[in-house]
Amino acid sequence: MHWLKQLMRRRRYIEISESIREHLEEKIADLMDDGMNRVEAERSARHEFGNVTLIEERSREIWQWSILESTYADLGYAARKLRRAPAFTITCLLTLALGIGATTAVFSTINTILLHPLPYVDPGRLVLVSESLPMEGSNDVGVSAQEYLDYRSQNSVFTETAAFETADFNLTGAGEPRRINAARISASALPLLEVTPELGRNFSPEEDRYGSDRVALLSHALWQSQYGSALDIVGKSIHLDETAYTVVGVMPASFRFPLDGEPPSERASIWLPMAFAPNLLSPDNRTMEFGVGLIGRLKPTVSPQQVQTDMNQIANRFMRQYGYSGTIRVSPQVYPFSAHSVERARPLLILLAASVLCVLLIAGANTANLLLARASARTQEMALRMAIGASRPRLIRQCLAESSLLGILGSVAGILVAILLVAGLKHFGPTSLPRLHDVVIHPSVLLFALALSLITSLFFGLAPAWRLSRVDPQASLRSARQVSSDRGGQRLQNCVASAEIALAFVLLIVGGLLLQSFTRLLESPFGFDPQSAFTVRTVFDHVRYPDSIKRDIVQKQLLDRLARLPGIAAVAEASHLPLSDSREIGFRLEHAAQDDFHMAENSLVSPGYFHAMGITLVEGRDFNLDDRRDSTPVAIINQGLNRAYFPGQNPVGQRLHWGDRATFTIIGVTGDVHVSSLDTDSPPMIYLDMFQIESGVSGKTAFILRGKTAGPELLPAIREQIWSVDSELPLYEAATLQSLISQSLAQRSFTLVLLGTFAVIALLLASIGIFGVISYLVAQRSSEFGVRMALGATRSQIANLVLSRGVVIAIIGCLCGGVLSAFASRLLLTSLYRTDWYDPAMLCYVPLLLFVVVLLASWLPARRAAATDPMLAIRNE
Amino acid sequence: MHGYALAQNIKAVSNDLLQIEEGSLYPALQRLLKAGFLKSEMGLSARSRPVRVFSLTTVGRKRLEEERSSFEKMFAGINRVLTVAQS
Repeated sequence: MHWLKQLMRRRRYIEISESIREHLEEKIADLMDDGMNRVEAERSARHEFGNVTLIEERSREIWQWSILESTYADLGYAARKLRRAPAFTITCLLTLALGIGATTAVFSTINTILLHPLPYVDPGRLVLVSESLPMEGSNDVGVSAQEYLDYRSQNSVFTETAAFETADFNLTGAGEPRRINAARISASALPLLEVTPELGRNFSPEEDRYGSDRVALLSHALWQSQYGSALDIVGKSIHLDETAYTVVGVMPASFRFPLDGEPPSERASIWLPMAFAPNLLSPDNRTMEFGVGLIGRLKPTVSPQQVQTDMNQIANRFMRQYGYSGTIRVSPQVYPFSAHSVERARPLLILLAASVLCVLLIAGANTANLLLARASARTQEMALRMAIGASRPRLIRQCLAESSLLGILGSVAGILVAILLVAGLKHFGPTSLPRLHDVVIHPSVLLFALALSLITSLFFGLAPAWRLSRVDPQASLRSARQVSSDRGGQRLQNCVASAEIALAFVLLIVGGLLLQSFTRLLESPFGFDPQSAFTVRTVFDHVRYPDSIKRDIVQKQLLDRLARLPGIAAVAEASHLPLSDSREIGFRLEHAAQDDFHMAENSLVSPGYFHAMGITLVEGRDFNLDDRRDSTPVAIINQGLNRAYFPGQNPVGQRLHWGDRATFTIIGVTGDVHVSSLDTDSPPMIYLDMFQIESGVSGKTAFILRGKTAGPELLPAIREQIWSVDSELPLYEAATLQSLISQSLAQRSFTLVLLGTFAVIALLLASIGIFGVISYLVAQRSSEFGVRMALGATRSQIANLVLSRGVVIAIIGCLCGGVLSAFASRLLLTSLYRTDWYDPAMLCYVPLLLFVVVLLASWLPARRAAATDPMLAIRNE
Repeated sequence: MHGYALAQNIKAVSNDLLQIEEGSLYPALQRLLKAGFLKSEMGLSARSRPVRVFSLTTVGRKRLEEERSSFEKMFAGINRVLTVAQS
């Protein structure tokens, strides 16, 4: 039917033109009868009739589905217009594509890697409760089993609570022995998260009791890799640490609780019931062990403040009731579950988001500037259109069509760039980044970038029409120079260019500070020697090695065999390695009050550990084979602990208590080692001899091999040696010490690379912007330059005139950028390592760089200005 | 009546009191056509030239009556108010 309507409408249009023509003819004939000649009659008739084209258009509009039809025509015209100015169109599209694409890709990556949206129903209402021991300076120790039960029964803010804890096990009986990560979760956890197993069922509350808890839920990945996705797995039994567990279900692949933020290798593969052991529930052991995670789902009307108040009240109640004293005073903290794992990354995250925004703003500013420059050039065209009868709304619609077409094309290009970048990032990005392969383009970010660029292009695309409302079309038509005297537009363009420089300034300063902090971090002493050292982990669990004497013999035998591998100079063992493990123990100095506990990092090590790790022994002696289970218990402390508790004394020979385990005599002091990360200070540390003291609960241990051959290539030989002693020992996390360092720096280096990229993009865009503004200036003022030259100005004077504009823009931009970067770098302060926010050298280099870039960008237009032929320029007038 | 005649007529009948731009007649005519109050057909002008002639349809006539009576009522109302205000 469409074509029929179209046909009818065409006939109408012809009729309208015809009747108007008839009208004029009649009138002309009448006027000629009155004695006018044909020419006079025609002019008079048209004068009395009005603007024929306009009236025809108005009459036609009555029949049109007008807006759609004219928009279609406008878009077609706009497309032709853009095609005819390829340089402008391509620059504009590139800027938009880069702005939208880069920011969307980067922000999506940040979102997936650092913010990791949780696959649970209404994740915003999930909170984590963890206690701090303020007297101890220990944060987030979790809660103890009995405290969890108190919070669970006494709270009035949660619809449901659950406890969780991480654990690991040897999985045997299915292929090679494997070390797997597991989590203990209470039976309420899955209902709380509103997740159901994809196969089988959840634990029953009865199975969540000690003694009847030999049931397990498998992860989707483990079910696939180890059991070939067998559907009859439910009901089968598996062996963990040589104990049989019955599989009751398989969890969906998206289920990663509680380690939602960890890389795949560290996530749980098996879930077991929490089933608190009876000794943890005995009243005397209330604060013996923390480390239980408490997750709760908020009631719909409850605010985070109410949760905090409620938790504080419960904690105060049980602390009073059970007489918590001394340094054991707990203070519950409430975190959103989703944010908990990114708490430390938050400042960097804000920084990245801010820089993304900066780049987007610069891209927007650039588009704006290009459109403004074009607007001025088109003022004449618009004036002409107005003079032959176009109304202002009509002109605005026309401008709108052109800029929205530009915006839409740019958006499409931007989405393509984003897709390409995300694909590239997945392919070439650092593998140490967790969840890199889960990165998808984040719809709301994309929407935001699209909206911003569309708004920019629409807003600034309207400039020509807007400008016409202040410029007299007649004057504008009469002289091209009228356009160039439009100072308002130029001032706006200069402002936008300065703003670009300012934003680039901020990004460069921030990037520079981060780079400086990064190099300081690399230059700071690690405390150990990461070169040519290799570690591999195994577990001597208590079920397999119930007898500690026998375990010691096997371990010594293994150390001996590994030491004989070719090229190996030193071998040692440790229960906890720096930058990967952390274990805190409470200790009390000899003669101190009963409740005067302090916390220290702890590792159980074999003799020769300090040599193998390259940790310096500052004072006293290392452990040796004479430190046996029946000799005096000994300990080695680090300088940090020495400074804190033995200032001005010789610590060697002093004694300290570790709970009721033993009283240890200090025999040596070592250098400090970073434990949790390179950018946190080394904590106080107590090393104990693993052949003298029981290695705690887990039996986990790491072998450290130092020598010129130490590396991944040696792994088969190491495996052969270890399995020749016990073929059931799982070997895992084989890595060089160097890789521990790069893992610890992964997030920082990623941030640095991203910010560096942002700074470069910003610089590039800003230079394009400046180039655009100056080129436009030159084009507009070419006749003026011609006159100046004709009046005796030299070419270099003209070039200087142009360059000076660039310099003014640069100066204003740098000044604003300086102020802005002062704020930005203060925000950055918490993520900087031994770097001051105010760096004089940087404040010299960055403006210098920007001036060079601005001068380069204005150089080409300046040369063009200097090459103006005065005769030609004036003749063009 | 064709367009030009219409314009002349308005001018003559209103004694030049209603000075309208002749062209502005045409969008108005199209609006009436679209609403179905007018129809157009080929006819002859005073100079016997073929021109498009507009005439009222039945619907148009009815509408004209309605408009006129409502306008007269309004005018009468205004008149009465003004008379009262004067006295």
